[in-house]
Parts: sequence; structure tokens; C-alpha cells
Amino acid sequence: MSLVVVAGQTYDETLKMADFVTHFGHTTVCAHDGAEVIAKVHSVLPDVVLIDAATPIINGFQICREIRSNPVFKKIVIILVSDSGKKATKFYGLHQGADYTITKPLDENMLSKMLKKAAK
Amino acid sequence: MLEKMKQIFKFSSWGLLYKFTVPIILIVLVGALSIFVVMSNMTTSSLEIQVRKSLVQEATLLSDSVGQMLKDRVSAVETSIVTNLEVVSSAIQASSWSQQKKYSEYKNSLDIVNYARFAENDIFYGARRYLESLSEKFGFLEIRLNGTDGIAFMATRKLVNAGSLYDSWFVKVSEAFAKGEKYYLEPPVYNDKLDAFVFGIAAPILNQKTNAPVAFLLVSCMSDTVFESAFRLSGTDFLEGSNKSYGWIGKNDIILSSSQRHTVGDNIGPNPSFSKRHAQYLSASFDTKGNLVDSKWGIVERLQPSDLPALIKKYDQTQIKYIDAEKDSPQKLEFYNQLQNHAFGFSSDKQKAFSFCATGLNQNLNSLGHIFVSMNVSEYSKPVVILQTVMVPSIIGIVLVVMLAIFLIIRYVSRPIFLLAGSIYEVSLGNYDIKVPVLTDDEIGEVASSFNTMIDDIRVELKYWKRRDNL
Repeated sequence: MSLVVVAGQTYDETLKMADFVTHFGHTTVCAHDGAEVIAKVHSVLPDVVLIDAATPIINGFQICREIRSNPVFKKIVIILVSDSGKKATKFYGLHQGADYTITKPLDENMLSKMLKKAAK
Repeated sequence: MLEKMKQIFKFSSWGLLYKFTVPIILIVLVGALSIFVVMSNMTTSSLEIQVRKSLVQEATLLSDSVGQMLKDRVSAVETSIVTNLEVVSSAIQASSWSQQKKYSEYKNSLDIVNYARFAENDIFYGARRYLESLSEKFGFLEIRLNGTDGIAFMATRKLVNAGSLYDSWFVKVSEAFAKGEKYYLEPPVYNDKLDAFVFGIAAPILNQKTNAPVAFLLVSCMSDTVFESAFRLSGTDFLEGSNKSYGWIGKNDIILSSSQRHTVGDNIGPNPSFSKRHAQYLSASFDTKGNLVDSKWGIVERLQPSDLPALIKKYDQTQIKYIDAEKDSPQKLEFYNQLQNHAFGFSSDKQKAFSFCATGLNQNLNSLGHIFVSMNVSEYSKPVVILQTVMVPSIIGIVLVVMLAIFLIIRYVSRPIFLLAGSIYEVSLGNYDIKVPVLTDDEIGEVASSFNTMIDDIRVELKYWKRRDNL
């Protein structure tokens, strides 16, 4: 059971992702853009951040860099949802500080596995 | 660690890998395979060549030696006969003309003197006794004193009558002595009646006053003594410490011999491992009719005595012209070629042993017999074993190393490309404040720095437009 900050590309997507996460039994905090994600991270100090690479205002890669630059958030696990299935994007995401990457459409099993791993 | 390895594996450019690695690996594999095939073929063929060469050398050496041996033997017998004939004829002359008065002049031939002494009343008696002793000593087929007046004395070791041999000689001998020759030598010829090679020597007995021949001493000799010598030679002199077997088949008396000598002085016996395959036809003795006479070590399984005539016929057909006087004559070269062609002619197991035959010929180019040489080839199969045990694993190892190297190279290449592609994606999301790390000093690095310049320009442009909008 972990606290997850969720942010998608759009409002609908964010809700959908939040549904998944709550379905697996985690507590969810929704954010609708990158700036909000950073604010939420600062306020709630989550265990996991599940964000889209293309979040509005501040994109996912920037969020990754922001979180990783602060040693306080060292233990936060970042799961980056990339729009395209391109390897380059995934590699870039991991290089920017994400712990896991996952492609859209979201695979339930894979996401649950990742969240389980993150909870450990 | 495992996670990291997984990531490395996952984010390697498999596209590049497929494009470059797979063809390269295929090329390496095909190359390695072809090298292997070529090398194994080369090794196998060189093995064959080696074995053939070595066998040819062996047989050449052997047949050279046997030929030389035969020649020496013949000339030795001839010389001794001639010497003795001269003594005999001198003694006969002495006893007939000086009648015991000049014994002291023949001190070197005491035997003759002794024999002649008994022949006070019969000048030929001593001579006859001496003929017998000579026949005994040299194993002559027949020796006889043929007087021009028709009186003849004869000593025969074997109950064989040479028959027309002497009749045909007589004219030749008379002609030779009419020319004043010291003695007459008949070259060895094959005699159908005797089924043997026979050569003969004739010496005249001269009238001391007129110097005209009063009698001829005629000696004929069967060549079996010579064959025995050759057999002994092939059986002993060439076998010390070798893994080869030798056999000799005489034209007349078929003698087959298997021999393997480990140390000097051992009894001739077959190599146990070798004889399993080869004693069959190299360890038995046969008589002229092909009956098994002696099989000391022999198992005559493969080669039945009934096979022998066909065998001999076969090797007579491929008869090799062996001419001792002309070392590098065309005939000799042909001889070597034929030897090479027949290197497998007698092999029972091609993979394990080679054997073949060389024919010994007399000066009339008739075959005296056949020499067989067989050889265990295990020592020559070493290269093949090395090829199989060393080459194959090393080729597989090389292929694996090449694959790993290519994988690492492509990983090294793909890393900056991935970063660049990711950065471009981020720019597409609207972030113009990034800088792509320029990791390498090559073309990819150039692309990265060009990209940075472009982003800088766009940023400046955007600022300008924003300020303008605000105004």
C-alpha cells in the first residue's frame, strides 16, 4: 500500500490511470499538469510517481530531473508512461531519472508488478 | 546489477544489431565453416600424400636394396663359381699333363690337389669329386664337366634335369670360347620346366700346349638361394623399430612374411595390433601350388591360398620396370608413379593401414618377386584428430567473441543516438530549455551539437515573438 501521485497527458487519462492504481489498492493523488505534480510531490511526499512523459506545462522528463535533483525525494519511485513505444524515449526517460517506463495503452499486469516492486 | 544488465540488454539497438551483426555473424560463420572444410580437406589429402610418399620411399628403398642384394648375390655366386672353375680347370689340366709332378705350383688349391692325388689313374676322378663338393657348397642345381670328346661328368644336388638348357648353351659356350673368352656367363632366365630362374656359368679346360679347349665346365644354379637372401633381407634388415610390415613373394616359391621387430635380436613376429588386420596375408608361407605351408603367426582369413595366383597375376600385370642402372630414367619415374597408384591396392582397411607392393625385376626385366610393405597409419591421423579436437571449439569460441564484440560496439554507438532522439522528443513536447549532452566527438556528436545550436536559435526566436506579442 503506497501513496501514488498520478498525472496523465489529459484530464481523462489521469482519471483512467488513477482508477487503475486505486484498483490495485493504492492511495492516489491526482495532478493535472507537471507543475501540479511537483507541487504534490513536495506536499504529500509520495512513494510512487506515475506520470506521462507528455504532461502539460512541465513534461515528464523535466519532472524526473526535478525530483532526482532533490535528495529528499531520493526514495520516490518514478514510473514514466511514454506515448510512443519507441525505445529511444524509454531510454531517455530512464536516463533522466525514471525507474520504470511503460507504454500506452497501459497493461494492467505490468503496472501492478511495477507498483508492487515500488512498494518494496 | 541484474536490473542494469537487463536494461543494457533491453536498450541496445537491436535494429542496428539486426542490420549489421547478423550479416557479420553469418559471414564469420560461413568463413569459419569454409576454413574448416578446406583445412580438413587439406589435412586429409596431405595425410594421404604423406602416407603414400612414405610408403613409396619405403618400398623404393626396399626394392632398391633387394635389387642390389640380388645383384650382389648373383655376382658373388658368379665370382666364386668362376674362381673355383678356374682352379678346377687348372687342376684338371695339371693332373692330366704334368701328372702329379707340378703339385707345388697349385698350393693355393689344396682341395683340388688332394682330389687330384687320388686320381692318379683317372684324371677326371678328382674333378668329379670336387664338382660334388662344389655343388654341395653352393647349392648348385647341376654341375658338369663336358669334354669335347663327349665324356661328361655331372654332379646333381637335386634330381632335376635342366634338359635343353645345356643344349642351347653349348653353341653359345663354344662360340664364346672360340673368341678366347675366359668364361661364359648365362644371365638368369625363367625356366618353365623347372619353374625357376636359372643362370649358368661355363669355363673351358684348355690344352696347355695348343691352348684349345678340351672340355667345358658347366654350372647351373637355381635362383632360390638368391630369393632366400632377399627374403631374409626384407624380413630382418628393415624392420627394427618400425611399425611397418614387409612381405616377399617369390615368383617360384611363394613366401609371405609378416614381420615386426621392436628391438634388434628379437624373433621376427608380428605386431599384435597390426597383425589383426594384416597378418592375414603377411604371416603365412605358401608353396608353389599355393598351399599353406607354415603359418607361425598367421591367421589366413582374408587372403586364402587360392587367392594367391590371382594376386600374383594382378601384380605381374602392373609390373614395374625396375632398372637399377638408370636412377632417374623414365622407367624409374613410371615405377614411382605406379607405386603411388597402387598405394591402396592391397589395403584391407583404408583408414587404418596402407600396404602395397613393389616388384623386383632381374636384368631382363622379368619379375623375381614382389615386396609388400604395409603400414599403420595411426601416426598420420594425428592432424585430423587435432583438427577435430582443437579447431571446432576454437572456431565456436571465435564466433562467440565476435558476437560479443559487435554487441558492445553497437551498444556504444546506440547510446548517444537514443539520448539525442529522446531530447528531440522532449523538444516536441514544448520544452526548449534543454541541452543534449555531446558525448562523442564523431558524427553523432556533431548532430547533437547542431541540435543544441538549433534549439538555442528557436529559444531566442520565441523570446522575440513573446516580447512582440506583449507589446
